[in-house]
Amino acid sequence: MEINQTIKPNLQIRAFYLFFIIASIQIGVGIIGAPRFIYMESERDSWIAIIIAFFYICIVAWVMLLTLRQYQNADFFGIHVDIFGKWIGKFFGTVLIIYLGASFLSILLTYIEVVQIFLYHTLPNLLLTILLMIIIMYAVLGGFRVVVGVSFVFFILTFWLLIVLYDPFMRMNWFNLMPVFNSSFTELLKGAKATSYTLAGFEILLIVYPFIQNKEKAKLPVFLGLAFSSLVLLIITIISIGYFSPVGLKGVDWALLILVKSASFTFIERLDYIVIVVWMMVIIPNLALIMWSMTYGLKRLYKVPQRFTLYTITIIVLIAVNFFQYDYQISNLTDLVARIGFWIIYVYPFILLPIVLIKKRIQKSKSGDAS
Amino acid sequence: MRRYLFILYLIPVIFLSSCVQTQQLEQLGIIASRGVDLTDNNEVEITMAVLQFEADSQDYTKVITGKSHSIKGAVDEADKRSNKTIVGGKLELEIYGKSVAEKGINPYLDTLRRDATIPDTMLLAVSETTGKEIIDTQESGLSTNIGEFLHGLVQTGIQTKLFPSVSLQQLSTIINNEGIDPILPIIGLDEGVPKIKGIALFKNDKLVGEVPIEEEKLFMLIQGTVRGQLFEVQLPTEALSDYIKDESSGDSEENFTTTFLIEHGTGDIKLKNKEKLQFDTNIDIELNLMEISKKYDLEKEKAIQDLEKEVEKEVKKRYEKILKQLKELNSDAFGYGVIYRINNKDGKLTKKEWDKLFPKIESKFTVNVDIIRHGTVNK
Repeated sequence: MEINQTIKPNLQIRAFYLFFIIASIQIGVGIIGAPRFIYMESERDSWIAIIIAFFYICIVAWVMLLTLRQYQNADFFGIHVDIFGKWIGKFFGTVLIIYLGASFLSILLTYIEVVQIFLYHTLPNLLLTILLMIIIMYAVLGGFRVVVGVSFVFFILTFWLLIVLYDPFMRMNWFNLMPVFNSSFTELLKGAKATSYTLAGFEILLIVYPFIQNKEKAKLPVFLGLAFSSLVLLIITIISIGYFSPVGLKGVDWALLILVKSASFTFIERLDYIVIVVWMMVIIPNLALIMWSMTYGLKRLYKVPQRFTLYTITIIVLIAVNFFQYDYQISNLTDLVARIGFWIIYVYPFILLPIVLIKKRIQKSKSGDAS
Repeated sequence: MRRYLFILYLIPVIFLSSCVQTQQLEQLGIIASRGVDLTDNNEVEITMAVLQFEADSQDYTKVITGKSHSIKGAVDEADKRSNKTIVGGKLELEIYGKSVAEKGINPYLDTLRRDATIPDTMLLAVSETTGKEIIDTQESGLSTNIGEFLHGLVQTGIQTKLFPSVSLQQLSTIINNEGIDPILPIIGLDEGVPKIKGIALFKNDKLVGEVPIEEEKLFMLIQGTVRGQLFEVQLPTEALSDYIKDESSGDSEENFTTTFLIEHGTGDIKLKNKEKLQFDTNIDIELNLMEISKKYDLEKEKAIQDLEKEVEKEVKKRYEKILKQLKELNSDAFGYGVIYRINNKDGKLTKKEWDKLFPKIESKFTVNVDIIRHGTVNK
């Protein structure tokens, strides 16, 4: 396996598109229910917890970029094979792919659950999965540039959903946020940790990095993407705290959907139905990016054609969704993904960076001796 | 490849569309409003005004009743008696009978919040007697059907901010919040036509008392900014006799009536002394005189100032009376507890703590009235 890749210029993207990749993979199903989990930990000061989380993910992204800079044009898989050798390196790569697969499943199932609760009670899991998988397959078959295009287009198409929040914003009670600075520091950190599932996804940076044309400009769009999704989470959480009562928010599963439920216009009575359907456009870039990363990763590690893995994973997903019938199964899966993701995305980069740096130093001194 | 995918996509769209439950408008009975009552053997009885569309029928609404142990069960039972499928996706108003409200409305709120098809914008109200009586109103006296009429009755209240906080979402927020108790409108029948008759005061989810509807502006002022509302005040004739130029009607009347338009009004509660539970409630109102039953000399500045003073006194008296009633009922509809909570060090206050404290609070009402305009005439 090559550690540094050569990507054809016609497959490369401008760094500018990283913003859309990061923003659209971070905003997904997690954000619908996130305010509750953050509020359970840090109560009224949840917004501070989100700001802490934002600074933390900025540091993580910076560490990731620093790690990637040590190589000419490598990704997560290449770096690991380089450091740990063929077998252990491939094992780490496989772990990441399995994690991505689990989060793919959890996003899909959560969305299906929302549709079943709000729209069609009797709709079987399989039906919605088939419909979604066809679109995702279609996107992934188009290759990386199409997947990025999908995330760009759907980002623009769904951006307006934020405007709907003006209605709950007008009704919110600011007293619910007072008094501020009451939660202890540990509570705030726990609250920040509760955002991990929602804000996860930017680890895709480690996989798409070789595809970027002007790598020196990659920093700004990445941080802007992180800032955008954190800001959206922040707004939704603040409105939720003001809109629901403290007891109420702890019991609300889909805070964002309940927020839009109260907005009503003369030409459309129930906006929540529209939002749930449009939310599919938020999910698709999410799923397409993850699916592409999985197939591409398997190609890198085991040299399997992407088309073959795509079909295989699709069949596995189509079978797997039928086993999830109960609410608690889905929340258990999501919990598991959140817990594993926390270690892979938020902790592991800090371990990886020193190893890479040491390895580079040893290499340098060796090559220095040789010359 | 693309063509295959397209065909692949068409197959589920064509063949699987029957998997989704269909709802045809002609086969539905849409609940517009419903009343919830308890029968003698503790069953829930629901009276629903149902909208339905039949080609050869002139009546769009039909009143259907159902009985069971739960709300959803009662709807289901009513469904069996109707030739249509009854759905609650456009439920606009739910009226609780007085006895239901006195027992507590929390058990009935659960299904409204749990069921995602129920709109959060639906309104809630309490009936003076039973919900059934209001829904059963004969339609001859009304220009529209009963479901729409009842919704309009309460809805205009919200839109013009005539009445604060009655939508499902607002009520469930207030019920769960510490340091504030909810209020709801009371609907009663007046010569066979439904009408908002008062303000129901709740203690948590239980109806404990009521305030006449005339005081609604006072509640609104405490809750936020008020604009463009009529406000009627009775003033003592004696205190202002210097400026009253009316000789014809005798001075025997104790009070005379003035009606103002509130141009801008705000209320604000502040905690003055936490240990002694002393609050300051400041009310600022800018008024525009619309009607006065006596000839009053409005040219002099002093005359207007005295008039303002009398209005201030009167409003203050009315507020103090309401607060006294609230303290007796231990129902904190003004939300003093919220202000107390945010001044607590840890920002926490349990309902039990506030239950003990609320009857002991004192509030000083400072009312500041400015009459900024008096219309086109000054006498």
